[in-house]
Amino acid sequence: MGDVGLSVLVVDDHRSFRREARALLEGDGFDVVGEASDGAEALAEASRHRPKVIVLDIGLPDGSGLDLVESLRALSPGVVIVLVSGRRESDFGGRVAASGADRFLEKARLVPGAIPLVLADMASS
Amino acid sequence: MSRGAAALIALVALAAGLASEHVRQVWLQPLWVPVIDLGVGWLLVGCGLVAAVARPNQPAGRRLVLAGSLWIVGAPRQWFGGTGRTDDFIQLDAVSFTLVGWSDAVIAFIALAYAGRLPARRRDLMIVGALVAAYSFQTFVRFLNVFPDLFGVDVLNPDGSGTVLAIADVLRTSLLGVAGLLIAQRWLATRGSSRRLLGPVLLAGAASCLVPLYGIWFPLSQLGFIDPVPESLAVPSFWLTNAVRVLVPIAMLFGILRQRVSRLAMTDVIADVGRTPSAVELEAALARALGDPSLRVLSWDATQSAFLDVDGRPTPLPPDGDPQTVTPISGQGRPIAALVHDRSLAEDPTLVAVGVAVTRLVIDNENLNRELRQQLDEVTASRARIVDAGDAERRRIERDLHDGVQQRLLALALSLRRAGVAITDDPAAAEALGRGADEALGVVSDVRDLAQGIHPAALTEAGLATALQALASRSPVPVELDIGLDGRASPGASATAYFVASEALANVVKHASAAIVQLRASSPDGEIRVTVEDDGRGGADPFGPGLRGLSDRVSAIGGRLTVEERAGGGTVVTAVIPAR
Repeated sequence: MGDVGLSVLVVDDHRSFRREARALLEGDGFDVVGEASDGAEALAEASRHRPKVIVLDIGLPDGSGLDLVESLRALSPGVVIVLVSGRRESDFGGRVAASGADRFLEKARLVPGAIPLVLADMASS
Repeated sequence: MSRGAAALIALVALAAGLASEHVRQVWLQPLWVPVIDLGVGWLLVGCGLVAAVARPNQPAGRRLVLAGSLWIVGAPRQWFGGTGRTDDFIQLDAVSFTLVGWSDAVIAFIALAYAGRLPARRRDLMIVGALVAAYSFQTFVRFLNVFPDLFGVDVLNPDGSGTVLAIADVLRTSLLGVAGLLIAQRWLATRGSSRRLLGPVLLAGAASCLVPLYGIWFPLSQLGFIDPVPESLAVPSFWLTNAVRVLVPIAMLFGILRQRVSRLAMTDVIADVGRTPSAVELEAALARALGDPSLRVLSWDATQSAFLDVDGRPTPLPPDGDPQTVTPISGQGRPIAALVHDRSLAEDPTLVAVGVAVTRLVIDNENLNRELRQQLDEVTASRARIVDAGDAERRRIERDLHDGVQQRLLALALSLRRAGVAITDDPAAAEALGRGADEALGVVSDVRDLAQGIHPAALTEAGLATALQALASRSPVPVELDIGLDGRASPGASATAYFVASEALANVVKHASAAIVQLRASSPDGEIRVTVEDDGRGGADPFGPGLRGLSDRVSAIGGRLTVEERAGGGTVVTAVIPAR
């Protein structure tokens, strides 16, 4: 839990998931500064809060989260973007790697401690 | 006329001819005289009978029989006519001469009225009337000439020089010449196939009316206008007169023979059209067989309410009075087609009827083919739409499962997991919540697998190549991939290609006992070609429910599926699908 206090933006069109993700992340010591339910809202929230971490769902109502990565990173250089989806990474072929996101995490694996582990893994590599 | 009636009339004509020659004792004449007499008479009757049987709806044949009969009865006495004999036959002599004259009149009438029941023009009718009047007058004059004392005094020939008789002959012969000119004019007016069909009879008719004009010499010399006919010309003139008399029957016979040839040619039409039954072929073949290059086959288009030519262009029908006429073809009260052809073809209704029958068959066949093609196109399009609709429905169900049940179960699992972590003072409850979270995630996995079977997420998210890679990665049997897709296939084509690969791979896993599978996919020429080749035991049943269903699906969108034994063992399943 070395990332206590890092600001996080949660982007997902399912309110129940956002709620659980917020609770989980806050449980891991993150500061969830905002939530967004679609791409446009995500850009607005990212612009407003300049979060250090964005948990970004791929399947958004107004487009794919994969296509949002570049814009979000432009708004917050150095932001860590973790793509999440109910699907497997293999379902997206090479699109995840090509998107420029830092990591991909299946939603089923979003357990307490998962995001800190991702950050630690990134730091170590 | 029936063949039986014709045969009977022929027998009567034979007997009457022989009797006539015998009764008139012409056997005392040189042999060629009765031979030519009988030859002309029998030729007229015989050709007339053939024409009456061949074209029973036309009166020309029966008229020719009449002309021949008049000739047979009258001809022998003609030889004695004007010889000055005063034996017991003198009365019959006059009748004989008259009958032969009427025979010529009938032949002139045949030519004037050819291709119709009566002469078509008013002036033709007038000349026919004048001929009848002239021949009637001549008959009357000859009758009085035979019986000069009938009225107590020879009113017509008081000086015994035959003046009135000579004038009647001049009048009769001149009128015959006028009829010949009218017939010749009609021949000059004909063109194309009309001239081909009517020309011989018209020319023969004109000749048979004009050539006897030389005969006017006799009455004119009798009247003192010119010198008497030299004896040396009598026999040649006899030959000439009889020769032109048989021209009309021979021309009619020629026409009938040519008609038979045309009918035979219709069998070629049927054979040609049978090989390639199209209106274009039909029109060309009918024009050839009927000898009418102007012939057109028009088909009725109900949507445009117009006749179309063989190239599909709307074509008006020829107006009344046009050299061309229309033979309409209808069925069940509706127009089907029309034959536009030269009027003269109507001479042979049987030939036209065959043309109509063949045209009806061909047009019916074309219409049926067109309807069949339309229906087939509709069925093909409908099958493709059904497949597309099925794919769209599968995508919708997969997305609903992903966005609905799966997301809610995930949230539930996360919630349970979080609750389990939060409970620190009751390990049993925490463990139960953790198991609940695991269970919920298990259900998520099951739902995802179910959705995957309905419609692979990879296909939606990343396309066919990625979906095939994902498919290969999940296969228990090692798969060698060779994918070269251009990514331009439609969702329906991609889904079909994917399901072919998926089903074929599943079959390999279940039945083939293969060591390795090769999965190839490429995009040649607007198609997707997918091949699944294994090295297993082979023996795949192309008619089994799995492959049969795949084949149906592939063919529904215009593709084809083949299942072959692989050389050296194994099975090769290949699908070629339009990328559309």
